[in-house]
Amino acid sequence: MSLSIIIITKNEENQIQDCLESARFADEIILVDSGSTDRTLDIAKSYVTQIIETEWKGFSGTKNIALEAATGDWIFWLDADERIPTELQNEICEIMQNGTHEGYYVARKAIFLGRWIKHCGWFPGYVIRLFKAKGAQFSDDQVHESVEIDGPTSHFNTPLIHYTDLSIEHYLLKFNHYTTLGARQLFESNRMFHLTDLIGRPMFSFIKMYVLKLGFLDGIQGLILCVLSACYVFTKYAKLWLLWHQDNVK
Amino acid sequence: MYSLSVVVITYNEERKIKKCLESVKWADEIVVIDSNSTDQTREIALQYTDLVIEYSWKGFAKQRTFGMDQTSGDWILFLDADEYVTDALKHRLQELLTAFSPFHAFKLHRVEHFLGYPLHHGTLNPSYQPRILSKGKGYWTGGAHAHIEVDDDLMGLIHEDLYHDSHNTITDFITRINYYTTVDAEDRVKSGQRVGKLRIIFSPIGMTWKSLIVKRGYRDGFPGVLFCIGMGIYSFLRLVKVWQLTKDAPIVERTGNDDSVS
Repeated sequence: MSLSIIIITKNEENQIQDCLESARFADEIILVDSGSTDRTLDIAKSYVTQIIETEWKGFSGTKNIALEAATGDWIFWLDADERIPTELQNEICEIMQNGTHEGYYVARKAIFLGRWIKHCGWFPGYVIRLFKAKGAQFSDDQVHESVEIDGPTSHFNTPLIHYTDLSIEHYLLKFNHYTTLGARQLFESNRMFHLTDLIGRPMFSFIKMYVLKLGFLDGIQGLILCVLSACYVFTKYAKLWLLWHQDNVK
Repeated sequence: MYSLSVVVITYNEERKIKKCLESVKWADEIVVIDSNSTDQTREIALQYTDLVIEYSWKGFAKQRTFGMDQTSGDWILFLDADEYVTDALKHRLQELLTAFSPFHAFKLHRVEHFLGYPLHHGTLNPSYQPRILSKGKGYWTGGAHAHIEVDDDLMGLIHEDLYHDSHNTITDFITRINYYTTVDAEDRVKSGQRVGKLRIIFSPIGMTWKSLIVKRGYRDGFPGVLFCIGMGIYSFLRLVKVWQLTKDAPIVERTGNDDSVS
């Protein structure tokens, strides 16, 4: 049984080395890069089996390219801002020997501005990451891609480490991009804008994360995260308003 | 009769630069200081002036100072590419050039725009921006909010409108506040500001309240209300960035070894 780790990157020079270090135990690493202009590929060269350079085809499209190139029996999908701790590496090897399921979910420890966010609804946040290569395919969604598994699944005991955001600046770049995608997705599915989207939804999102999901226990980082998440919802719907509005003006 | 030079600083402004330069083509001289645009900015600017000079970005004050050094006029008008001179302002400036002025610099009345709508209320208004300097009588300084350094009683006010057509999209607005809050936070850290949890919560609420209610931002309609909330978000981001810059070593863990990250 062999393991392929697949990673997609674009300008990840700050993250990629630690990420690849934690992936070294695999039989092969397939890295698909969409036009990095920094040192990502220079750093990656000495670690990976194959680098494929391609234009951006969306999250799922780009990951599917990696999937096609992978030759292992098992696939582990890893993002550049994630690390596989040693205990999890051992679990993965163990499962490849004795695993009976088609796919395995892993919890993620999200490190936001230097702190592990244990609440806010962020943990464990199971995502499917290890699966049998045969017949696997990433499904189409503009923001949150996932993999379609046919058969029983299980989960790991050890969480993956996820360095979500090194700085607020970085968070906002993603924030801006994803809210645009989110708004466009709503717009294209003909979702109308309601005024309550801008009042109720952000407030509800904050209360849910900060109070109901105990985000207040995550210190100042928890507060920042919950406010930013409310801003995220607000911005997404403000962008939806603008899309409809500009459409009317034309 | 005095002469007027216009200094415009640009970076990838192909959508806006034409309108800006069109509004000042009556001036004696136009100098465009471009920080390595990769779009058509340069080509468009060359239709209006030969003085299009590449100068890598070093901050507002330094770009403008460099621009001023390239001019030959008595008065200098400093514009951003998303600003343009209205007819009323043009006439006022032409009048300024006809006689001696006791002032060394002027602030112009700037009408902010958001998503294409003019904002007449809210915290930004009335907005007077230093934009005119008598050459050799003062200099530019500061970070995100660069200003002209002259004695207060030598700074005049001009009430005719300068239009500021920025933030045409929400995406553009967020990109800008991301940039400005970083520069602004750095300035504040240098001047010794520190923040705590309470301030991070209440300061943005206070800012939104102030621009929406006290300064009657709601009177600018729906885009005005969005903008006031945007101001609250600005305040929040600025505080968070101050926190980020001043916090001690990153707190990764506060519990036992079994939770350890590395």
